[in-house]
Amino acid sequence: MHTNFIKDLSLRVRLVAGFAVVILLTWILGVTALQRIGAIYDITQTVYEHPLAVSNAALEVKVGVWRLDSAINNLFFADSPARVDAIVREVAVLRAGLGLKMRVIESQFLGKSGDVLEVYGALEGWGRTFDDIVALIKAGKTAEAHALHDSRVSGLEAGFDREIGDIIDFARTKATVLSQSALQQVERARADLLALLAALTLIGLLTSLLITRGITNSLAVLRDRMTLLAEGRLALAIPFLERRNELGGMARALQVFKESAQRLEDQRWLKSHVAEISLALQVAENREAFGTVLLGRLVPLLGGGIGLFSIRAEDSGRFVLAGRYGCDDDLADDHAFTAGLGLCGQCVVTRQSLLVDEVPEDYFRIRSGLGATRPRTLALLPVVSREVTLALIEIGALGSLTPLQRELLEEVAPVVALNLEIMERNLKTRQLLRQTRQQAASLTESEERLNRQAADLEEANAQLRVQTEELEAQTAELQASEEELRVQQEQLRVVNDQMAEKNRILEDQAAALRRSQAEAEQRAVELTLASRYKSEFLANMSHELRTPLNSLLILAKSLVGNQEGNLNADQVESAEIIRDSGTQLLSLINDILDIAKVESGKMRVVAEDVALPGIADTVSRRFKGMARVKGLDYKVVLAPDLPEIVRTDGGKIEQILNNLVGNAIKFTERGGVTVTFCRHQAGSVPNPVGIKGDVVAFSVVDTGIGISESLIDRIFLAFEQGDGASNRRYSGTGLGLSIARKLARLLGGDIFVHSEEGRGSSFTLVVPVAPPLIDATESLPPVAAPVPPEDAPAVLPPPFVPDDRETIRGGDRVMLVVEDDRSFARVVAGIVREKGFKCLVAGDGESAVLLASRFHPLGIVLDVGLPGLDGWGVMERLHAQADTREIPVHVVSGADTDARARQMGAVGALTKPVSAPQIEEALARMVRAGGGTPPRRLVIADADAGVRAALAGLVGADGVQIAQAASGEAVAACLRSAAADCLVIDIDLPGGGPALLESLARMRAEGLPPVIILSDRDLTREEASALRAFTDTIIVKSGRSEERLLNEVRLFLHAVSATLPLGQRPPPPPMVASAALKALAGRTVLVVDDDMRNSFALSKVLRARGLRVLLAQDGRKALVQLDNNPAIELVVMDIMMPGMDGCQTMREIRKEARWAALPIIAVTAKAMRGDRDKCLEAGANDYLSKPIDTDELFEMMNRLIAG
Amino acid sequence: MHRSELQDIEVQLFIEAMRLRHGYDFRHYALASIKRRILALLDAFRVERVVDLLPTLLDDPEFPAQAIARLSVPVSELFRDPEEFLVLRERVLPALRSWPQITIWQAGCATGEEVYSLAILLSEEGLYERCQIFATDINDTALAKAEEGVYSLAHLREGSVNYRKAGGRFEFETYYQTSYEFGIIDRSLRKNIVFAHHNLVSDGVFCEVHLILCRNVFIYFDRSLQHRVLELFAGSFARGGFLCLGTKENLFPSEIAADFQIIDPKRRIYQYQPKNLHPSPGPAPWMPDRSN
Repeated sequence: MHTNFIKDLSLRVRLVAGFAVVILLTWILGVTALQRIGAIYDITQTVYEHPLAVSNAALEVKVGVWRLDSAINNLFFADSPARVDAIVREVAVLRAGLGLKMRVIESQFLGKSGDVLEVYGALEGWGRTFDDIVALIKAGKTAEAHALHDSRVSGLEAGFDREIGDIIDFARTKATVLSQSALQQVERARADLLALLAALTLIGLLTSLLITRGITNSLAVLRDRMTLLAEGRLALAIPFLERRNELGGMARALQVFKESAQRLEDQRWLKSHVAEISLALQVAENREAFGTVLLGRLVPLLGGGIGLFSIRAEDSGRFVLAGRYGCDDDLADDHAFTAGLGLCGQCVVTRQSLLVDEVPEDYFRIRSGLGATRPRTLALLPVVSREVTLALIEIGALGSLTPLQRELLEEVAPVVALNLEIMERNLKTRQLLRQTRQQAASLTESEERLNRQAADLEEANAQLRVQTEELEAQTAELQASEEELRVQQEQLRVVNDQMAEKNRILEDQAAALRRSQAEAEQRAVELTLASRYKSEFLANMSHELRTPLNSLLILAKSLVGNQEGNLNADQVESAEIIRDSGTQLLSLINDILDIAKVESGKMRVVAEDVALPGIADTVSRRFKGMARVKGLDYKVVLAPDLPEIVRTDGGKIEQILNNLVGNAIKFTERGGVTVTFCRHQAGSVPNPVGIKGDVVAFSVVDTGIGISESLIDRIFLAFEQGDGASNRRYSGTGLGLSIARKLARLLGGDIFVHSEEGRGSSFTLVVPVAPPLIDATESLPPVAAPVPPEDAPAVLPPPFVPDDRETIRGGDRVMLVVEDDRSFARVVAGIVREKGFKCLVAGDGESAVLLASRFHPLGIVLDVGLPGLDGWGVMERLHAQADTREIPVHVVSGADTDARARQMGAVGALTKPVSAPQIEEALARMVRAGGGTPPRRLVIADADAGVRAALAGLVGADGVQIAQAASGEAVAACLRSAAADCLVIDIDLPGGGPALLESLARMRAEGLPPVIILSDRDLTREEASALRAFTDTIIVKSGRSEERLLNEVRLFLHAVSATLPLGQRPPPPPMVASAALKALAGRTVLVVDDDMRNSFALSKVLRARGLRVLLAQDGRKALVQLDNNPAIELVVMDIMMPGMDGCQTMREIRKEARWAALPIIAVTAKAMRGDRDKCLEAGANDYLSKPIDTDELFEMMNRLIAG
Repeated sequence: MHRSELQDIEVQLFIEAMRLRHGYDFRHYALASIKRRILALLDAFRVERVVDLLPTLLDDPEFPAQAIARLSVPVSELFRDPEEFLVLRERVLPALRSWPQITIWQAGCATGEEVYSLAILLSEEGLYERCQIFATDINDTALAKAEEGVYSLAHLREGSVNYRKAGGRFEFETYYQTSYEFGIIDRSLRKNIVFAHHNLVSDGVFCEVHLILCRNVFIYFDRSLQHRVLELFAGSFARGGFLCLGTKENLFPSEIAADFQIIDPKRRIYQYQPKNLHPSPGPAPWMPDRSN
């Protein structure tokens, strides 16, 4: 009970108790030691306080007494009472100090008190002696004093020394005694402490031994158990399970561990045996081996002595024996059963294992050589897979089965089933494999055969492929050439077709020609008829017109009379206009009637005998008055050989003469008009109608304005001149001459004209003396009735703005500007003069027409919006007049009138606002359209006169004036004296070269004329490019160069300055420049292009905008230029260049950090996006397509640098 | 619908797709020829129908390079049509001699035989040093070959025969170095030649030229395209420049054609003599209309 209590004590309690004992003992030791130390201290203190203090004080008293003695001696030597007093004071202090010491001795002294009193007595004696001596001295009794001193002092000294010596000796003896007792005390304490220490150590050791043993022994037991458990000896019992302390807890935990280890061990046993069995079964190749192996393994594990293994026969419910263990042969041989029959059968059906314990005595026996015994247990185990019993294991065991063994049985069954199945399947597989192998063998054989064939084939294929490739290559070539042949054939076919087509067209044209000939003939007949119908219609119509016109005239006349007086002056004037217009209209109708009559054949010739003097008389009389009014000399003369009588139509003759004479008087302002009647012999005058026989000629000669050469043929024609400006001014219908000629022809004669402008005209009517009576309808070609021009000088209106009308001479190149805006008119006039033309300006349509007719300008710049007659009206009028019809017109208008202008026959149209270059272009166009130009001037410059002459001979032609120059100065002089249309300069001309051209270009406002450089040597690229700024025509003399020279000269001589190629044209004056463009001025641009034409054209345009332009002909030079000119702000880069192309150059530029941001515009001929992207990738900021649109270029430059 | 009609539609689709996707415009090529060339592509791309080419055409940016190598007809030989070279030597080169610098444009140089033949001619006439020759083609593959200047010996032997006929008086063999089965044209003949991609259909004038050789190119173009190219040439020519066409080619009458005077009717050599001094700017830049 008591031991149990101790054993159940927890370890903590035990440890605490042990430590408590040790601490207690330590305390005891400490306290004892302190007590001993205290005792020793007390003794030491006593030693110090008594003997030491007393002996010290005694010594001090001794010293004090010596000092007293010396003070007394001093008294004897004191020379003054003061001195005595001072010594007395000193002694008083000394005596007080001695008193104090004495009290110390008195209080501390442990010896006899009589000793102390003796000392006091001695001290008293000293005191008294001193006082006595003082008194004696003061009394001056020095000798007595001395005597006193000598008598008392020696006794005093001896007594005092004795007394004080006693005290000191006592004190010393006392100290020694005390020291002895202290030593004893220390010895005792040491012995006590040592004894105590030994006792304590013993007790501590005992206690810790006790506690340690109590803990470690139990732990060692547990540790041993654990080691054993870990080694697998699980059968050992665990001690201390019942203890209620930590050990008990540990033991119980160990127990839990032991149990789980046991379970693990069981499982391991189970699994390892199951695995072992499974492994063994996997090796079995047939059912018998399977059964034998299974039983051989399983039965011993179960402690059995006998076992059977039955397997379900393949396709029946019966189970046959497949293995046995420890059986008698007879028992097993016929062991076969069917499901459901017997215990085995039942087990198969239920698929549950069956355990029979306590097998009956006579059931069966297990035998060995030594004997036989009955088994204790029978186990039936069905092997089930997917709810089908595959086999049955029957085992007889000698003992009853442990739970573990039963578990083994349960575990092993599915493994057996699985392995059995696998084996069955393996058996089947193996069988199949055998079959397959056989098949595979035969397959391999055939495959090899195939492989051999395949190899052969491949080889053949390779050969074929090579051949095919060769063939393909050949085919491609063949195809290509075939393609070309085919295309050529097609082309030929097309050409053939075209030829055939052309032939067909030609044939068609021939046929058409024949047809149209026939048609024309037919048409002619029809036309004659139609004309006649028309004329008849006109004749009738005229009659019909006359009737209402007459009434109109009558009424107008009466209105003009204003008999009622109710019309104001304006109204009367209007009426007059109506009357005059009516009268004009009437005379026009009369004329038309006459023409119509002639043409329609209604005009009949009444041939009668006409007396010519009578006619002369009539004509003379009729115009005398008019001539007189105009102050003209007018006479009618009859030639002497004139026949008196002519057989003809007198009325017609009169009519013709009236017309001719009327005109003559109308157009003559000074001089006179002479009418002559004479006879001509046959053939003496031009005779277009083939008059045979004699004729009478009636000629009317005036000294009037005459008719210009160019118009003389037209005066009988031109019906459409009816509304010409001059007609109105001179009145009349303008049909008179036409009618006159028609009548003359009707009479078998004609009218001839001879005229000199400004000198006068002569009209001659010729009629046969005996006219053949002809039918007018047959003899007269049905021509549209012409009207003679009223070629009279009109009064010109004053100039709208100052122009060159006063200085214009024959051969001058004149332009007419029609513009109602005065300031714009001046601007245009300026441009016109600048281009080397004389300029006329009209401010309205009427004067424009007048000026055009008068001066026949090379072209007209025509505004559309004009006061009065507008631009279109002017064009109509110009077209209506033969002499102005051909003048080219260029329309300038506020609205877009291009289409209409072209319809009207203008050479072009501009929409305001317009620029100077546009005007220049317009002028150039008109000059081109007009064709004819005055003679051209050519300058030939060569140092060698022979060469000059040869060249002049080569290029000389009609209308070309050639000047020769032998030096640069001479060329300059030539140009200074007169403009030239072309320069031919030898490359090595003294004072020639680019410098000359440069100075010539500066010299003349309009710039250089076209220049042709002749060279008899090759030029370097630099030389060529230096010249290229001035001309693109450089001819190196060679076998065929003359031909080219001739071509170029001809080309230049027949062009006008305004059409020069860009490079040679003076730069266009900058127009109103926008702020943005001004921003570009002064900037420096590098143009990189190998093509000189491109780069010079571009640089001209850029320079005109005030930019500084540098050129580089290839990428390398561009880099050099960039390096030398940091001022370059922009690069225009051509892409396609020989050597380093544009893209490469840009990449090079971009490699340099300083040019990383330099704007570059790429110029490319390529249009596809990919090409443009390449430019941008290479570093261009933007690109332009060729041909360059300059507006786009400037816009781009603005964006890149000006902004 | 008849099969060939369907095929015509497919060909039109192909041409339109080439234009819209890649900017190559074959619409104005001679139809019969371009159709045959497109059908020839079928074998090369191993497809059955022309429409089967379209997915590749649309998806593969490299398609034009491959297709154009087969669509164009690079047939040439050295000194092909020797008579023409004879005329060049006798009539054209003496006239070219009057320019201090001569720029020559071989438009459609194919694999380069002709441009090297020309270079030989120029160097024999002592003009090569002042010449700059641009040889252009639409077919990059052919251009690369041309730039290499490597020809089979058989080819070169053929050229040698032609060279004699073209009035050659020197050893033709000195113009190339042989190695194995090939000969490479002498470097000195190549130094003034720039080979470049240029599409006559869409691209513009790139420089001023004095001689243009454009032989057997027009035959593949329809009339409107021929006119466009002629405008391009007119824009490029210096006054008096020369144009050589193939022997089967003609200039269709037009305003521009009127500026070309016939120098040798049989060899189709013309001279550009414009009636006015204005240099023609060439045709307007051609922008591919794309909808992307």
